[in-house]
Amino acid sequence: MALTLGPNGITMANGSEITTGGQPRSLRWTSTSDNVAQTAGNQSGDTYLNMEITMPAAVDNDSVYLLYGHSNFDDNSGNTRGVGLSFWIEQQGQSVWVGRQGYHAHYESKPGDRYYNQHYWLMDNKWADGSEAGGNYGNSIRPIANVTRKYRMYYLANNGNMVGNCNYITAQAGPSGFFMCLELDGNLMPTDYGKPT
Amino acid sequence: MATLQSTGISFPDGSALTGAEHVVSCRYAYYNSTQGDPGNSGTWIGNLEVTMPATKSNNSRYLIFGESNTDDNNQSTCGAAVCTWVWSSQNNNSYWVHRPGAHSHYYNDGNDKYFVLHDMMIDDGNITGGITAGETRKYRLYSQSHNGNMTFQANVGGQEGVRAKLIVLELDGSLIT
Repeated sequence: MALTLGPNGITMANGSEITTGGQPRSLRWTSTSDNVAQTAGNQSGDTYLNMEITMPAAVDNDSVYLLYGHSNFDDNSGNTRGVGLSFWIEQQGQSVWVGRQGYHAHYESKPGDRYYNQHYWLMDNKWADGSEAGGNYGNSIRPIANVTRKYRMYYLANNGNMVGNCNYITAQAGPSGFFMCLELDGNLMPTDYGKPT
Repeated sequence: MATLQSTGISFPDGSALTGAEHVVSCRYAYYNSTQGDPGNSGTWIGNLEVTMPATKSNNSRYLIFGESNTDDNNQSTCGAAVCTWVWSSQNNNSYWVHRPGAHSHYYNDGNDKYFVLHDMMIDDGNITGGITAGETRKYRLYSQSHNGNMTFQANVGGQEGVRAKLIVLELDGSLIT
């Protein structure tokens, strides 16, 4: 069967149909296996995990971005430790935190040796100029068509005793830190669902 | 200029679209208020629910991401999980897509603990009443706990942005079949 144009969309030769215009627009990811000693003070600043993604120019200003990252952490066997991942964005020279889990998102107050594998999912669509930006729901920057967006992953720590992306775990293989971003077409969502209004 | 071919659509950059292998829809929701202990069986996290548009095909599959953070009250033991639930308009029934279990993440020593919980699943209909073209499927995120001492969507120092979140993507069945 040849490709056919129908009233509801396109039917491909293999029988599958396209009935909506929404598509993933781009995907970028990065990974590393370095050890990132804490550079920021306890609870007061974020340590960069050496993972940065530059997304291609946004297809349109209705794009939304699905972010995911994980990293291995090791403490120095102190009395207490805590950690959380943070996502940062820069667009046209302006930068903000898309979200931060906080410095004791994963935390224990008992002495001993600890390792954590910390994960973070986030949909970047909470534009600071939109009604949903209030109430501590994030403060990101609305995409602009044909403008690139740069994302980074950081971590916050409760005490000065964490190592991120730690690569010395028994039987470990592959990266010890991973960060990805999937640009999605705003047409996958209803009107006003992250789209400009 | 893009060209219609017998097998699909070809584009000026040389790429071609020969199937409908795409994301059909996406919905997501957030909830930021703290909630007390949910118990073993599971408690709905706030109003954290997404209603997907009418299912494209019986072959559609749903990719689900759920996440929330917790704090215990420093007792000698604690456990918790986040779970995914679905309701189908086809048979007006609800199902657990996945319940990791009340102590899937667990400690049995006394100290203060915080942790972030995740549930990532693909709903293929096998244990959720099947997937039927044209139906409406609602997804929710629930929490479970082990010892009656957990607070979900807990306040954390340095925290910014959303806490509990549920993200659902409907994937075209041709991605799998």
